[in-house]
Amino acid sequence: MTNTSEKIGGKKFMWDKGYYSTEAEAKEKMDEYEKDGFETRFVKEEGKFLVYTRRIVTEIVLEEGGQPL
Amino acid sequence: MKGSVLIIGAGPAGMRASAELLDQGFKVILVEEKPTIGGKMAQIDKMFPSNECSTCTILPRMLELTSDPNMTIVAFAEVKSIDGKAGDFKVKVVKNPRYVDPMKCTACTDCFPVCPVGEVPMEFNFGRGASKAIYFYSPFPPRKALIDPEKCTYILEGKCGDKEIPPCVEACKPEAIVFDQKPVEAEFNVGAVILATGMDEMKTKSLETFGYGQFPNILTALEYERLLSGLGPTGGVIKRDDKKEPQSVAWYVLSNPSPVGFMTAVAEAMGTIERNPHASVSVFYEDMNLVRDDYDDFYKKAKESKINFIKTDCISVAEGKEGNVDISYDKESFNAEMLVLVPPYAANESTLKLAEKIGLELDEWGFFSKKTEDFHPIHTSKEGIFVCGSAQEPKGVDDAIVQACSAASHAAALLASSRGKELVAPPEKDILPVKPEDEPETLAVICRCGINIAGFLDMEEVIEYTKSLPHVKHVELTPFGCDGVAIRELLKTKKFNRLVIGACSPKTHEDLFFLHTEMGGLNRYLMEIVNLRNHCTWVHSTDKQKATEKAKTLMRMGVNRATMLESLEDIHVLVTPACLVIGGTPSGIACALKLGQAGLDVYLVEKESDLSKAKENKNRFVEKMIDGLDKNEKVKIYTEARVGKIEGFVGNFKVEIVKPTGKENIDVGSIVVATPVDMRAESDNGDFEKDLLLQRDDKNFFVGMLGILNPLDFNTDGVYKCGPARKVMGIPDAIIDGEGTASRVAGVISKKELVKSPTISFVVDEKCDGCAYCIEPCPAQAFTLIEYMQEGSVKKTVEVNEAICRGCGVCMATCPKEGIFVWHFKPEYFKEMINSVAGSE
Repeated sequence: MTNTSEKIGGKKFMWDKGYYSTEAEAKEKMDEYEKDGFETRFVKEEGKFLVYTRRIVTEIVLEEGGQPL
Repeated sequence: MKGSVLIIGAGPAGMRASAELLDQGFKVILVEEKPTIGGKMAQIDKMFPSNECSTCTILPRMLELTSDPNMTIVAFAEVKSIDGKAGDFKVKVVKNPRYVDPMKCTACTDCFPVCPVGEVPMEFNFGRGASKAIYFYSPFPPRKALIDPEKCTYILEGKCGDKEIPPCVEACKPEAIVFDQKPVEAEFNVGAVILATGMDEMKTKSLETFGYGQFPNILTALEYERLLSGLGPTGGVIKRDDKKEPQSVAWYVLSNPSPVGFMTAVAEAMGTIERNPHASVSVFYEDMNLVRDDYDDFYKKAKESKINFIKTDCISVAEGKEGNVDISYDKESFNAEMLVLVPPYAANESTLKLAEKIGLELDEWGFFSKKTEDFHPIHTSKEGIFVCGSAQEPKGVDDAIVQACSAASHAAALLASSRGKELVAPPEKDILPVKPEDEPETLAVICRCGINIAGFLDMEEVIEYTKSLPHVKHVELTPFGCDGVAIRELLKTKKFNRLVIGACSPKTHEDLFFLHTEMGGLNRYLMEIVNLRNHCTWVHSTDKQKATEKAKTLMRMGVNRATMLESLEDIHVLVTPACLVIGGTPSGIACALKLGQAGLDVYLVEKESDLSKAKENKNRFVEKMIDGLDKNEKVKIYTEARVGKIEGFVGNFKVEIVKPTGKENIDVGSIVVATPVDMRAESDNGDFEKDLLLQRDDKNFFVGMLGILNPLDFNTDGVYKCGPARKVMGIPDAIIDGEGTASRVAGVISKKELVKSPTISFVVDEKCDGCAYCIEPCPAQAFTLIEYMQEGSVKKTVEVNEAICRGCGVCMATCPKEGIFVWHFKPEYFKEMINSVAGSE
């Protein structure tokens, strides 16, 4: 079963839940994500290409309602 | 050049110097004249000025040392000679006969009840309490029996009662008793020597003037400590020899150049009030000598506790009625039910003998503080032989710890070329592979702890009950679980994949039980400790039936939790072998120089144009150190520079140095703060205090890690403080501080990698929605909020920095979605434990 998250180069990346048949297809998707400021990586698994992304959030806004119990 | 160090004296200073050197890759031979280690710290109840329990603090450190494969502890032994020179000493040690082979003795205590010689006064308790002629010297390691040759009738008369074979020999199953044991000489080859022989109360004739030895119920401070101690002859209840609990106790602190005497009286008086809030407690003193702010704070706190402090030039003492003591002072009189004398301190007998044997000079009190040519307090009149702790001059435990670290840094610098060369590799681990789906096969080992547990529980009932619990395949009763014999041998059969130890507190014994578990071949995280001693027998010592019922409940909780445990692997973090020292103060210079001499890379950052401010102190040793820095290729000095932004964690910090010519980035594994109190870190270029999560107190000094054994540590791993960053101090102390910090740093950056516990936070990505409630409460700032793409949407989660997460569990408690847990402490484990209680009979 594919891991939802992967540690790649010491950083946590999350799987976008897509299966890409070719490397070119995966890279096309990665370019799309990178335009929005995401770091991207791909992993080959059982003949399919999986794309992982991450983007650090610098401004943290907590959910309304304050600290949960 | 040898890679081993001889340390003489196993009190707090000797033990700490040992631990520091082991951590830096040196082998250690620790020689102690008494049969057990710990020194005076093992005899006292609480330590000033933090009021921490001495036993709770020192026992875990003792157990760590005794289980290190590169540590040789030679207890009940004396150093006969030290020949040779710095880097290559030949040491002869004479081991005194115990009449019990320590390699065979299992500490089962079967020999004690059969020994017909009783009422032997206990030396460890200064004659109070009684043992048999075969006994344990103290409750501390090494826990091996010994025979008192002056009391044992078989040794004295060649027979024990009318029996040809002494009953102790018949009772000893491992055949450990050896009546013809003779002193044995051992030889060691070491590169450096550290003297940590401590101090003693001066029990001279002058004490008789105050009734000591003349009238009843007059004790010295150290004798009184044994009455305060929970492991003492009265179990921590203050009693006179006539069993009466005194309602009025007085102290008299004899004239003493050191603050240790007065502070000891304050700590003991507070301990007395803690036990009996209605007691009348008075301290007579000539001088306080409160040289530290925290000593002054401790004294003020004592005053608030209704302790009377009476300054007087002298008191006179007369025998009162019913064993009381009549005290006269300044035309006043006072009646106490007990008087505690605090005499001045002097070097102990063994220090004097040792100095003579190895030709070292002493001062007028017999301490190794004779001024050497270079005026360095750690140096002795012989190169390669260093001194620390109260063997140098009387001091409190925290000051002794700093000096021990400094002495270790001197030895490490001297033997730098031999670091790691004599180390023994730990034994290969043959760990049983255990998968989560494997059926639990549980081994339960229940410790008698002498009589500490067995004396207060119905052991048969606890054992039979534990046998009936699910998945329990075998229950073993052992005299002392901490010796690891039963645990290792049973686990080596590979019949068990879970271990439950019914013994004492994980706080003191977890690391030791981890070690025994892995030596037996089981992953350490498949082991569960049930604290029968503290939670049952100590707190319910007067109700055996209820204590037994509670023990059964706790065993049930432990066994059920153990079935859910999973194997975990340690985390390895690579280390950058370099250090940043912030501040060209005498402490910063001393730290940088010792690290450079130890062959480790150092960057020293100073805001002034040169180190002239440090030179302004006109201290010969500081000038010599600055010359040493200039010549040391391992030290790079940045002047007119500031520290900018700092990122990273222990072993891997990235630091920006802001120079007049621009910025430079360096990588270091550790950081030392040696800046004066008035030098704030904040600037336009960054704020290292904020980056490193440092805090200051109301006097603007940096707040360090809690605990008397951690004076140089911050809560941020890999970051240390010394000298003016810590408190006001003179130049000699500032130098010792800096050198001590060098030892702490070397323990990090002399390693290729750090091994970290896997009990850290884990994010359950399926449940975490990035609400970020865990981020701000995390004391280590180990979380980063990240966004990611999933099925066409932007989602959020958190990332844990494994290197800095400490597994405190604050995130787990904060998360409203069960989206994070700490390995080994999963919520379902706790649920199972609670269900074990709720569903009990």
